[in-house]
Amino acid sequence: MKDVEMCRYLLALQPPWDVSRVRVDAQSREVHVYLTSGRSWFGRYLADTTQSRWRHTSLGACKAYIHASLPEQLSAQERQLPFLGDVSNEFSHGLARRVVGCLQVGMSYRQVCELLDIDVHLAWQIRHALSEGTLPGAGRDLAKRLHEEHPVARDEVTIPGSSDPVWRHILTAREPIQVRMLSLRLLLTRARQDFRQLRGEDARTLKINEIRRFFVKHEKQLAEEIAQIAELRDGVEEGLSQ
Amino acid sequence: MTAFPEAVLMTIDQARGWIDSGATLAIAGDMACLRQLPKGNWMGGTTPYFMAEGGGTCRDDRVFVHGFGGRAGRVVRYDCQSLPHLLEDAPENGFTLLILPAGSQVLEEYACHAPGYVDMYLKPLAGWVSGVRLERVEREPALVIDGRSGETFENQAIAVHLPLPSPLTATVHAVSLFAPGDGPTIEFPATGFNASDCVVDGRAGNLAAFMAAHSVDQRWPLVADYCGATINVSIQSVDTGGGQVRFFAPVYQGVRYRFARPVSDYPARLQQAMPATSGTLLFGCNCILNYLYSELQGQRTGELTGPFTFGEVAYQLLNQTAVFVTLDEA
Repeated sequence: MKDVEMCRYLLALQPPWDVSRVRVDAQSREVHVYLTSGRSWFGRYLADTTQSRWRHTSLGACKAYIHASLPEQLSAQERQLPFLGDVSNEFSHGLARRVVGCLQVGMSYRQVCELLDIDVHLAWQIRHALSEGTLPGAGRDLAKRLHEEHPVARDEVTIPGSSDPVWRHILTAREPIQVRMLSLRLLLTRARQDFRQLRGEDARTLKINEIRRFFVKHEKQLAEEIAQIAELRDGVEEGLSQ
Repeated sequence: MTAFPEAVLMTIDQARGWIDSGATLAIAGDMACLRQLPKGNWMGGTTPYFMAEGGGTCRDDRVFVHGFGGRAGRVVRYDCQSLPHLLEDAPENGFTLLILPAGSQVLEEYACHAPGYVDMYLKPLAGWVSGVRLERVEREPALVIDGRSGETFENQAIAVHLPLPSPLTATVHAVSLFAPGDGPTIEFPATGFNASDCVVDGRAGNLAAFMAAHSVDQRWPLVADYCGATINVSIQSVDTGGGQVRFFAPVYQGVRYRFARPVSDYPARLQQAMPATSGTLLFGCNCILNYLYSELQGQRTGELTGPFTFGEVAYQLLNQTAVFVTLDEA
């Protein structure tokens, strides 16, 4: 069985979803699965320009990541397929359901994250969704229990979540932060140009996710930039409260 | 900053030894030299111009080898259809080195569209554009070579994807000595390697006519500011009668450019401009136009060694820039 066929089977994909490519990253023990939703043009798949990337439940010892675009015509039911996720999230519905399931049988949140190999940034994002009550099957009682177990502090993670207004500020303000790393300078310039022209809210969210992912990936090299973001957050919040 | 000892200009026999050891290599040299090398896990591109330890030189009996500190990588070829997936093949933590042939469609595809590729800027990517001896530009094609088979290509790119173990991380640096001059801002209505119409300080104009009217020196590039990074676009030719200007890299729609201030004493200023970093040098290259305009023949460029190239890649295609990659501990 080829790797594409195997991933199609393991993810229980149904048409129009299909696997276009699979990459196993042995060094980081990750498997990246790229999905298409069957849109084709004279037999050739169109290149997806804006893709989401969701952490999914692990495949064996490898963390699994799904890369896909959500076509606008998908029904609400289709959008809930386990290998997909919300545009605003970096985790799949399947992973979220596993987290909720584990919590409901009495495991602590820390144990769940260890079991499912969820890093601190993703843990914070899932925890935020749980406390907001946006995960299916997770009621108020679960959110309350989690809060009692371990109250969430705003500064618990150094890189804010995608919904934090500071990201919009960085992508729209004239000179929001001083940046030293070449790749971040180029990424920000490109993202700021694109952001002005993006019309849909989903597209803007994807752009914010991309910037945030850069900060998560290079967290240790970006201490000065992350400190500036913390200062900006205070300023942005003050501005919003006035 | 220190360089791996195997990132050096060497004889064909020395390079044979490295290839036969099974190492992953990127090799720059004249095609006659590259064709003499045995098959192995290496990729190459054509250029006879080098920044050697002893200074800038043009050799047709030597090749420049980057050995990546003995780390194993995967060589992959790309055509225009597969190139947009370049970074999907790149490791989550590692480094990708790319070589593209000058004057090819695959270079044009990369130059115009790379900023929109999936994972662009998120994974370290550097590279260079291959070329030929300047007096043979019209007669010979620039090539890349797949060392696994010995095949050469005029219209394919080739890359080596090199995974790195945590906490090591590759950091891409670009050094340009050019700064925007005091002239007007210039914007272009479309992305491309050619321009006629442009907007000069908000007024419609023609770039070739503007350059003629202001006696603009073609040696100095157009410069754009990318959040503090200076990005150059060099002038390849100006057809004043036809009102056309040809560039070595595309100008982008929506980006503001100015012509650069002239630069003197390039070698000394390059050395000053090299960032202070404790990392190990994994790769380096410098622009052939710097070699020519700054007269680097016989001049040392500090610890930065590597090929002189016909375009540099630090994520996107650059001109008149030195690019290098350091290996750091995150």
